[in-house]
Amino acid sequence: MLRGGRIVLAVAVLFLFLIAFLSLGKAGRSVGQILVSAQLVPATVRWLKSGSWQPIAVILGILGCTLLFGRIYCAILCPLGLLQDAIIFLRRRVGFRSFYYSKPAWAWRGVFLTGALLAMLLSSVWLISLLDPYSIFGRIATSLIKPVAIFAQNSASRFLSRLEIHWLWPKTYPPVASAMLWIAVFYSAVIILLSGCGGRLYCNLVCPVGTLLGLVSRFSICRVTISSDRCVRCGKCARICRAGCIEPSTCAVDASRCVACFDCLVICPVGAAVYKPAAKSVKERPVNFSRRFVLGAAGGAAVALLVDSVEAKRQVASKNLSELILPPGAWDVERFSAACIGCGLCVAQCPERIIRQNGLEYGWQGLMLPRLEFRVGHCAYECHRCGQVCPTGAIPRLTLNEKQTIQIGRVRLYRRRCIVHREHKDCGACIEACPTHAVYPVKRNNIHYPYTRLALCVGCGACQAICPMTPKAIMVFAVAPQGRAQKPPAVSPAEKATVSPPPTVQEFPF
Amino acid sequence: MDRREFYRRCMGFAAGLVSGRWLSKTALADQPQPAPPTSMEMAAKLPDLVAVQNGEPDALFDAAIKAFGGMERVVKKGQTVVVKPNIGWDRPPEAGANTNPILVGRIVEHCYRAGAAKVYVLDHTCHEPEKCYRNSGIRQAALAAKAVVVFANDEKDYVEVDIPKAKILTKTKVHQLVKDCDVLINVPVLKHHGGAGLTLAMKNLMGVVWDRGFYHRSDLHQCIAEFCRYRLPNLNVIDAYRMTMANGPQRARPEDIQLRKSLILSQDIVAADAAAAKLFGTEPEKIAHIRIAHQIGLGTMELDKLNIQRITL
Repeated sequence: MLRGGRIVLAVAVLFLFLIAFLSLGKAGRSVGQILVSAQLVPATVRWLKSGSWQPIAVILGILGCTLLFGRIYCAILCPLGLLQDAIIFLRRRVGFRSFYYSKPAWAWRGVFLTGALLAMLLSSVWLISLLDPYSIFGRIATSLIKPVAIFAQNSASRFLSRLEIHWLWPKTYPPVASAMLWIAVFYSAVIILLSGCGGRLYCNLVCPVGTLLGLVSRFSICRVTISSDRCVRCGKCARICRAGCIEPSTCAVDASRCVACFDCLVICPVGAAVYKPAAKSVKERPVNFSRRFVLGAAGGAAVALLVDSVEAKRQVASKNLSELILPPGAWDVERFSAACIGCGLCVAQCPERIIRQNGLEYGWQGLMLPRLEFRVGHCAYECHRCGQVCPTGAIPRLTLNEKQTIQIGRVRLYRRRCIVHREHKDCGACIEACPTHAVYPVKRNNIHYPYTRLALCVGCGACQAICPMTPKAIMVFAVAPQGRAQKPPAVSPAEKATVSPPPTVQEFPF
Repeated sequence: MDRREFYRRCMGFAAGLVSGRWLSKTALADQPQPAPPTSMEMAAKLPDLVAVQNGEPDALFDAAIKAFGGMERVVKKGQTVVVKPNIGWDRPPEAGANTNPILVGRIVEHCYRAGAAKVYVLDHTCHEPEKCYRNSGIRQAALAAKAVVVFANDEKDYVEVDIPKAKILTKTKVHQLVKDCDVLINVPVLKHHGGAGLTLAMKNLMGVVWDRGFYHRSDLHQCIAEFCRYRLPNLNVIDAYRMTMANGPQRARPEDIQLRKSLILSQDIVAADAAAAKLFGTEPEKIAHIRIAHQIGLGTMELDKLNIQRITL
């Protein structure tokens, strides 16, 4: 029953995560917002950077839940855990049914948790973002799963159109840098390898969330226990345990590593394995826990300090900074990279497909950092989705009105490249595209010449995206920090008074 | 009466009930149906251009098409129709940036009534297509009228065609459905255009080609006119219900929109554009693509030479 419930929830949540990253309709956005706000690392980063109270509720909720029920977060809410469970399911399907007990690796757990936490508190979220299970899942989903899914959808859509069925619409691919693709492939390979060989090995060796929750679940009230009176020493539970935490000879279940999958409850032939509030007499006896963990923690701290000292000297590569246009509200690179964990949800959700994560073109600090590219689209004036879905608040949640007054870049018109200024022929594409009239026409000899006024420009890139010239005659350059744009002036009362409304019914002028 | 006679009478009665019920459901049931015009009638009485004002979009179109001689003049039984409105922008109907959705729906209904086998509604949008189709209200209106609503933002749906006698636009990629359809109905919305002056019927056809950038960088007005050498729409219906008088084509302020409640209908695209330009308040010669199209003989902008019917509801 417990196991069945876990599986149903796990499948549902994994499905919902995929909907969020494939951004299927309005459901994709709202579901995504809910699920990503219930993740530990993003909530922690949001709390540290913005000080709001909501993420504290999430953190305490997850920790409290773990204290009560054990690591059920790992079983039903962690997207990377769910992905590993899917791999384990496939592994079982092809015939590999056994895992085996392994000793706890407290030293390594100490290294990764302490290193990541300390680095986050000292300098930046870079280190923890590399290890955070949600961010890892996000990168795999955005840079690997999504392009494959879009390819499948486009093929299906084209096939169905031939049969005159127009339900599926072709979608454009999100821009994926080759570096991001390699990162996604690397993580996928690591996860497939680790879960194929050792079940939830990542969760109990590397994952800082897993280690933290493991430290808490050592004292959890409800836990899996094996009654040594009933146990017939068949070893089935130890072989099925994906966390490798059941020692068959002593019937000991390492609660710090148990991910609450409840497989052992079902497989035990005599019902010796039960999940219930633990009696006070059951004590956790981890071997050499304290010494090894502290050693590992020291190692992790050393790594964090090393990273901190390197980062202090690290600058974003200064070339091409004028092209580093950030999502609205990101403010500037320092603030943005301090809060961005590189999960790729904004990339996946942007309807115009203009957000892309950097490769190494801006150095290590810029790796996986999102920026805007106005090649196939522009930042739609009526859209503010990236801020709505960003789990850490690196792109803040803004109202549409607030977003429309942020200047992420400024336009620049090159008259020598512009066909209108150069050859005195109408073009008008940039004038047509500009949502704020920052690019406006001046009519001379019946030709509409484009001019710019920077105060109204929000840097959306609509003009750049549509300019038909190569090289572009009008482009947007980044402003750092982001500025404020004026809204186009409303019609003054004086102007309203002079323009009398025309009569509703007039003579036709022809 | 014997049994067979009884059955025949029952069937007849039932058929009468069913068809009466069906007719009373369709919106056009109240309208007197115009008899299909004979060629003599066409030559003698029917107008070249109809202008209607002072009504809602559906009423305007009903009056216009009736005065024009009925939709049967344009759509024959069993034909495939493409209705091409302006759905280019992610703006609501009140913004006047896209064609009025009520008008689009009504045109689709008339097409089916005239016997069309299939009616497509499409446009190669400038903004993200899903948002444009939805927020303009056109997708909903077209689906309600049972049109097949198709997106046109995939390059794979476009085929290259040659344009005869063109100087600049010698070839371009046109949407497959527009190339193959029997009837093309062009339904633009009358707007001021910051880049081209005005956007009317001829400019609306930029939404059936793939590479608009070519037009913009080569010679915008020449290309707009020359595209009509490839295919002239079978009917042009210019939506002047809300006219954008300034700051068009997509971001006019509410003060720039005039509720003109008018409609211009013609098979002559140049004449329709000329009438629309005058309705806006500009001389047609001042709009370069109207002048060029007139000069190369795609239609006439000399409205005094045409049989025009003017209706005020």
